[in-house]
Amino acid sequence: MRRALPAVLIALVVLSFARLHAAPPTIVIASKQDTEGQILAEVFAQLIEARTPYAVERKTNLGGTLLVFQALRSGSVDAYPEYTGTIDATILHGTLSFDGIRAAMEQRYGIFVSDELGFNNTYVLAMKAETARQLGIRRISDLAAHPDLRWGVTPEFLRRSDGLPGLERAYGLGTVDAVDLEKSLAYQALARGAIQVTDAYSTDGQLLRYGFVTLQDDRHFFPGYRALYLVRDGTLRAAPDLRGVLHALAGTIDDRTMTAMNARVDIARESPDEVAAQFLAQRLHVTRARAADSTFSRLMRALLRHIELTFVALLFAVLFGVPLGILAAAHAGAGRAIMKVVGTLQTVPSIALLALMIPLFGIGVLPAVVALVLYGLLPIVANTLAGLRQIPSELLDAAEGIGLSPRQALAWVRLPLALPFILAGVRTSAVIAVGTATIAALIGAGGLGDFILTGLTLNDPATLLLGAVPAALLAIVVDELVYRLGLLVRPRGLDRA
Amino acid sequence: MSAAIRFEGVTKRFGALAALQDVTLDVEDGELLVVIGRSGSGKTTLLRCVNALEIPDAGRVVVEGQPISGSDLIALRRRIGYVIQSGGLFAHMTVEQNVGILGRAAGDAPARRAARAAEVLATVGLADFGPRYPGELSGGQRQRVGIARALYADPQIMLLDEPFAALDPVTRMELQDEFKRLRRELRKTMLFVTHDVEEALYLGDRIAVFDGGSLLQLETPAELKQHPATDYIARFLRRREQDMQ
Ligand SMILES: Nc1ncnc2c1ncn2[C@@H]1O[C@H](COP(=O)(O)OP(=O)(O)OP(=O)(O)O)[C@@H](O)[C@H]1O
Ligand SMILES: [Mg+2]
Repeated sequence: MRRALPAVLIALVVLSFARLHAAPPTIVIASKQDTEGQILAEVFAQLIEARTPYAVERKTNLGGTLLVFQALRSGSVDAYPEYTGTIDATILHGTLSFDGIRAAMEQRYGIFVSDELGFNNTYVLAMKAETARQLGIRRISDLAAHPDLRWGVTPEFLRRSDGLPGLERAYGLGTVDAVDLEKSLAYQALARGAIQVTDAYSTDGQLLRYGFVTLQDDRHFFPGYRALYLVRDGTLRAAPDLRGVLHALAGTIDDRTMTAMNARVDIARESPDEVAAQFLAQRLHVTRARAADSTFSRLMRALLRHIELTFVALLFAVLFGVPLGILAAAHAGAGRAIMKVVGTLQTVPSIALLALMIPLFGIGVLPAVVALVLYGLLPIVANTLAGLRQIPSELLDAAEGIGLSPRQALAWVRLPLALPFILAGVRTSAVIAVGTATIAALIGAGGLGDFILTGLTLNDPATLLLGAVPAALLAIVVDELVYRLGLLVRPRGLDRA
Repeated sequence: MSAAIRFEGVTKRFGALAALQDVTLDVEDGELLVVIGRSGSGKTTLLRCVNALEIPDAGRVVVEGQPISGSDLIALRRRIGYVIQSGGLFAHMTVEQNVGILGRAAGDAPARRAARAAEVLATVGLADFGPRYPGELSGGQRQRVGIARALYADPQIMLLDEPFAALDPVTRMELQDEFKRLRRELRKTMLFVTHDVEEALYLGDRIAVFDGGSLLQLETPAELKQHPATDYIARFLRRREQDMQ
């Protein structure tokens, strides 16, 4: 029995590595965390499933432009929806035409820029339909004649040069009477009449909900944020049928269609998945190749993934942490260095640590596990060190004096006596792992974090709780489990001394 | 008779303090030599030089004709039974596991280990205590388990550092009697540390009196009683005489 334990551990390690490296021959479609991105990713994914033989894997909660673009470059992701304005400002740092963008992305990164989907999700100005009609305002230039109007804008819009200051100059509005307001508050204020003008994104579903009208940017002040898909050249070569899919989607989604789809997700609480399916059915007469998974089965998958992430990470944290603690106890110099490094790792915000993993390991389970392991090291190393240090010196002398070798003294005396401390460290580490694993979804590792992030993005408490409650329960269960496991392996004599 | 342990001009310093100062002393084969002295006089340090837990700054220690050298200290220590001042039992191991730990280190089969542990436990009068943990024993029982552990490998030399300290007088006397009987059975060389003059006089073949790291006197108990060279012993003897009157 005792001899079997190392073998089982080794098998677990090998299996977990094998799993991490099993790259399925599928197209990985990603998106950032916004509603629109998730709908567009679903549209692309479902059309691929309907019209090509390829399988699709979705990673639709990635944390930000730089992160998802890195993932695309490194090949962890094959395609994701993006905007011309974002590519210009964040990726290429220029002001290029569409053809310029396409050429630059091809040359610099080997990434194909699809044709535009049709809509432009840029800044717009919104007003109550009634007010606009009474005052006869249809275009932004019409506002010059109404300096008495009260504006409520987001802080970002108030300060950015491509926001209000630039707009005032371009349209000769003078200095308008503007206060800064958080977006949802601004919409409410506009609806109640406390303000008359606000900034918005042109495809924001909330515009439909309130029935606001948007003003035409007749002097073309706002840069274009025209949606398209970025696809790796390598993916297109390996999966040539994707070109047909991209071609079929070109120009199919105008501002109104996109706004309506966003509204159905943000306001009517439909899932991006259903909304995309209906769009494809109506517009391209595509019937769904794959039935949508039930929420329950998605939740179960997420839970299993979460457990997998937690335990694989914990296993490696123990495998590395305990020897590091032993090393730290053996040499004072090494000890200080190890504690410094491990302690510093702990102070790195988990989101930053996850982001740092991307250039090294891409996205998905592997970088998440590596980050979780690094994160979980401190309690285990520190407790192993503390456990070894608290052993009375007379017992160390006894072990040495009766003739145990250093290895026998470590295995038979020092580690068993330090075990209660080490187990407490493992317990802390396990709970940290469960918690940190919820943000692993940001780098495409899945888990319960997917529900939490989706809930946050869509402002949907039910979905959020669907992830958060099991995560909290899991933390409690894991804590209890590790505690009980500890009681089993804890040397009996230690309870009596 | 050849010396089992020979200290040749041994000096051991801890910083500025000389815990042992130029100690020359032979412990004869089969002899029980008691080392006595007040607290801090260097008794424990002397013992620790024999199993190389301390390395002398000057002089050398010769065990069974072999000077202690850096190589193979582990084999040396396994030839020497060591009873630690405070017992030094491992709390996470049963009495049987504590006693048999050197058998485990030597690769003895579990059955052989259990048999030998039972044997030495019986020798110290704790026949049925194998399955207990040290936390479940009295202080005197723990001290005896420490002695049993030192006896396990049947070493020719034993180092005992105040094995009967911190016990009530009656229990201590019982253990001393038991130890005396045991000693007649096992003709081993023993270096026995105590700060109890009574115990030294009762058990020792010879008594080495230490003070401030130096060996002041080395005599048989009878001789020591006749002409104590140290205030420490003399004061004690005077007091005892007064009591008897
Ligand atoms: N590792 C050490 N570092 C520094 N000083 C030490 C060390 N070990 C012992 N000493 C000092 O050396 C002197 C002798 O110590 P030792 O333990 O040999 O005394 P002892 O005679 O056994 O005393 P006791 O009867 O109290 O056990 C003491 O002054 C002690 O403080
Ligand atoms: Mg001492």
